[in-house]
Amino acid sequence: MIVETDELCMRYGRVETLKRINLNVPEGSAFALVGTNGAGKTTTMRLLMNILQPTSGSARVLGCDTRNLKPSHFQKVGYVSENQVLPERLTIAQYFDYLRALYPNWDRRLENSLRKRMQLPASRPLSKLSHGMRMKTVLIAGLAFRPKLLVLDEPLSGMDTLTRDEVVDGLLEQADETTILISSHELAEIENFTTDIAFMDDGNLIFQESIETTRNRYREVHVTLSAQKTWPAAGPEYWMGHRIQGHTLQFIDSNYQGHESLISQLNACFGAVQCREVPMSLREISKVLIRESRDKKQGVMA
Amino acid sequence: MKRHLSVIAAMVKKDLVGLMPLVLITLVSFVVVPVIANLDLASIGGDQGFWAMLQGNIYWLAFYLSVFLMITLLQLDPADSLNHDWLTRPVERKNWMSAKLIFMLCFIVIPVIISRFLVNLSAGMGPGLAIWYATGIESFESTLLVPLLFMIALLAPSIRKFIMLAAMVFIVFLLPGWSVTQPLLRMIGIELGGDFDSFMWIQGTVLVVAGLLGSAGIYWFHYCRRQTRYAYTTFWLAVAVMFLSVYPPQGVYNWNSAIALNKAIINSAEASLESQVILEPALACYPAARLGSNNETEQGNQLLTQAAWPTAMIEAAGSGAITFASSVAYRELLTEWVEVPSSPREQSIEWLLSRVRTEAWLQADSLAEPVQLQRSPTAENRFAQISAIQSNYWLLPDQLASSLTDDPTTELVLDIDATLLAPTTYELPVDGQRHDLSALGSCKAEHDLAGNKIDIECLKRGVQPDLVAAQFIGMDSSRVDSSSRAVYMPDAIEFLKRQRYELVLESPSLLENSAVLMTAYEAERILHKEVVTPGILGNEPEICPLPGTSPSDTTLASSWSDKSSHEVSFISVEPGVRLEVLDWRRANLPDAPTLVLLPGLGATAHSYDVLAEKLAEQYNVIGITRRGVGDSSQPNRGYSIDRLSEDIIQVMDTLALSSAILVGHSFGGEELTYLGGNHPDRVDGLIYLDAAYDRVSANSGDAYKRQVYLDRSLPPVPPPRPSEGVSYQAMQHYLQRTGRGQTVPEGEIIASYDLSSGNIKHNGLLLDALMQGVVTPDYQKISAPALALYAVPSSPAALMEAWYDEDDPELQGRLEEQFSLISERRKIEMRRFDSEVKNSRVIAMEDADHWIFLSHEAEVLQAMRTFIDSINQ
Repeated sequence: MIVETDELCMRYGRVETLKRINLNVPEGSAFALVGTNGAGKTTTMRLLMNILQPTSGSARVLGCDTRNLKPSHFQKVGYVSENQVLPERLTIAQYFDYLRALYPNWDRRLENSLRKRMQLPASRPLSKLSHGMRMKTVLIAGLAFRPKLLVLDEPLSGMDTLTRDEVVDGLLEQADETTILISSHELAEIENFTTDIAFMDDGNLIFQESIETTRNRYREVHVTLSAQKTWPAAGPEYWMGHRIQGHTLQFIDSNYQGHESLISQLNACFGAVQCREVPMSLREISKVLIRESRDKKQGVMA
Repeated sequence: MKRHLSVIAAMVKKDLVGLMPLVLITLVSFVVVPVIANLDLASIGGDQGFWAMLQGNIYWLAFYLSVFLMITLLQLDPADSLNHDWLTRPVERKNWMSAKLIFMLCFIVIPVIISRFLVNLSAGMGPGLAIWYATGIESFESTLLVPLLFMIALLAPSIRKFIMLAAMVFIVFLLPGWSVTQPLLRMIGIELGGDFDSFMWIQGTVLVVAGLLGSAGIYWFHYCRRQTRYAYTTFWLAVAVMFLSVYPPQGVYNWNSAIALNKAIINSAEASLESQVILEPALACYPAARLGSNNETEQGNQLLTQAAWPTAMIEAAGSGAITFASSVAYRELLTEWVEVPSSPREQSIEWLLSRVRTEAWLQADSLAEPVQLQRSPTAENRFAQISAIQSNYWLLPDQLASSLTDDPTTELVLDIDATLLAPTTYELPVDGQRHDLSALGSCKAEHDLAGNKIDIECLKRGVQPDLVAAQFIGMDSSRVDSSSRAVYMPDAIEFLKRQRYELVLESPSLLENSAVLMTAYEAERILHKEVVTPGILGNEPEICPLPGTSPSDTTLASSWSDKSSHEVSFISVEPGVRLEVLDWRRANLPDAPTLVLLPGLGATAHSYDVLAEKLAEQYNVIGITRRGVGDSSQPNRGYSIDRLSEDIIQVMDTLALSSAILVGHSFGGEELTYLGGNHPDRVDGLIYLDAAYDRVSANSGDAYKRQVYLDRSLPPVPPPRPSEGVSYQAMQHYLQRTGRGQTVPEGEIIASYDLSSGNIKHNGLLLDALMQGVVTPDYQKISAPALALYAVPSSPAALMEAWYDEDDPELQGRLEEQFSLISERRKIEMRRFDSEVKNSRVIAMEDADHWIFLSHEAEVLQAMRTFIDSINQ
């Protein structure tokens, strides 16, 4: 594991923003951290970068406890966040001159090709960049030394589609040799290269697994009931977001294990039924998860 | 290594680009400072006040700009941030620190040095010296404030946070000023108002070390370990240490420990210096006044004003408390003699005694243990120049005073700790050029004609003198000091220091000054002395009654009057200069010879109030008080012997005296010899009353030095008691008590003496100027007949004064030596006068006083009459 956390907790006063997180990011993966705003994604990433120190528990990055991260570790770790404070008066060229000196393994050619492709104006001061350009700049700054681990905190938010595509293309190029830990709620764009996914909600890590597992696990289930039925009280927890309209029932199975098993479960609840399962996109899955967690919270409040 | 260098270079470059506007503004301020500082205010128009203000404060602008630059520089890459880019970059913290320090070196320190270098160059230093003097830490701000600000800047990620922290620190240091916190401070043993001025270096060192260690700790925890909490703990710990070094708890650091520590550093085992300094009360009774009661005498009210007690202390002492001012004089036997190229004779430079601490204790059999009195920390004289007499103001609770007045065993003990300062003296030409005076650094003296002053500036790099003083050659009274007390600091701490001393000597027009004397004083020893006197106010209550307990103090404003039968007039001798002329002439002596009487140094024509009345029976007698003394004008120029003689001619012209017989006492001999040689037509005869001396050669050479030493080593005449100043009769009692038969005329006492101390009250600076004007007498030029009377001691016993200890063999030895020196001197002077003056008569009067016409009035009158008769034949 290139990143692993052990019961990682973070508390600000009484507010617990991270609750016993055990995150494991396999080497070589493109790991997406998904969750609503305030779920704890940014805090997790800051803990991994030793920008914050955990209240309890620990985290290891490249095998090193985050609290002991050394400059030598940061030579292998890139971190990109949307609200980084940069030396604003420097031009893009000056900024890269500065960074180049810091990294012994800086790849000048990669830098040049990325800058060329993303069409960054070399002589423009960082303070005068648009949000998109700024993100491109920091992204190139995070990529050009070919880090072993690239931690991206919401790199795509607020970008127009075209820019987003460019950035994603840049990332894709790296996807093979670099472990990427990316947080985003724009899952559609990173779907192509994400290998793993973790879902966070309200400081909890709900699950983490490979993207294949997730895809396989989730199905939108359309059921034609034999008669009008009500939702059984003892329905499995992993059936979510049910809607019954007349003879049709629609829900999402988050623990899909094949048609046969589903049918038998449905039979147990509703008697004889016909059903049809539709695979879901990552975007739809995340929507469901987010909706679900919101409903739960409202339920608790109510 | 190369990697580290390239990382550092990249960071410096990044910071430079990032801070370019601020860097430029700061650099410009460094350039502007020397330009503004060198502006010749007189030559530019506009608002002079504004320019002067700018000139005085421009350093501050540059200082605060560079501090701001330092803060911003550190905050570019703060340790404590959620989103600063640099935190996730592979920057080793030592590289970061190096980059920041190199940046400060390149864009603050070096420009400051260059700026100073330019100032020095423009001030006339050579390039080598200019660069040497440009380095070094100059000010309080940079040594004490910068480490603190550096700490805050390391800690605070933003300027807002910086201001917040700085404000908190500021408030912490202001806390002691709030009365509500004072009980709290007392709980931890902090007593406010204990000012360790002279030994500030100890507290300053602790402060600086705390700041530096604090900075290092914050850097380590905050940047290297990312332990913000520890960093903050370190910061407040350092601030606490700083606070405690500014307000040290008595248990940790007090006067005793400060003195002991500095003694251990300064004092050598050789203690012989101790006996070379003698302290004794300067007054017979210390002046006292009762608080609260409307004091009857003006003197009492004046005393209270001078004591300037803080209200809280007065309230604590209760009503009826007494304030008194102890007045202690010191004399030292260590006088240095220096050769001064521009002066014909060697100059004496005294060692100084700079007060450190004075405590007053009352002890008596009726007291279980000595009681310490409180000293006024706010007395008016607390910033007074170091002088031979030092006063302190004490508070005596009424109850204690009244219980002790009846106890004959009461003693007042003044415990005095003081630093003895050894002088090293240099002559500094007044030419506006820089001169290197090793212990004082590079010095320049410039004559400001318009302001009638001499501006002196010294710039010293490295080990600093503890006190710097300037004076006109031969005029001790003109001495000005760089501070009101010596500031001691060990050399090891001073090696980085750079300090500017600015002194102003007023009224150079008194003399022709082509040079001034500069003295660097170094602490040689911290002395402890006790001055013990019986009673509370310096003597038993019968002699020194407490205020309000004796009727005599109401009559102090007394019955003095000048009863001599002279008319007083003022004659103008120069625009703005009028001389007091006493006229004893009677209308019935139109053809009698005219006598013009000239007094001695520090005396007025009233010296002759008695003698003149007797002379006036036969002669037309007038007396002249020379300029600078008594009621005559005190101009700031014209004290050379030719001008003084010209004054006399002017008076004679105004009085239509074509010629006269001139009579001079003591210093008056100077004018006599000059007029006798240069205005023979106005001089009918010359009468020297113990006055015919060559004061140039008499005041130099080994014999003179020995004489000065002996004079100093003999006990001075005891001061008169308050009751003895009440009237002329009472004063005569004093003179009898002190064994001095002759009595200075009442008019002269009124004109020349301070009745409380018995000292001459004339302006010492002007007396010095007069003394500096003496010339070698040219007796051969005198053509008029001349009579010289000399007071000659017949034996050492004649020099024994009533207040000397007759049985002291050491003192007797001194008197014998003094006798032989005086006799020898007299012999030479008499022989010379006799042989060089063409028409001379010399009379030696055995055992006469220097005031020869008082102690041997009849003989003097007789000799004068005989002489005058011989002229008129």
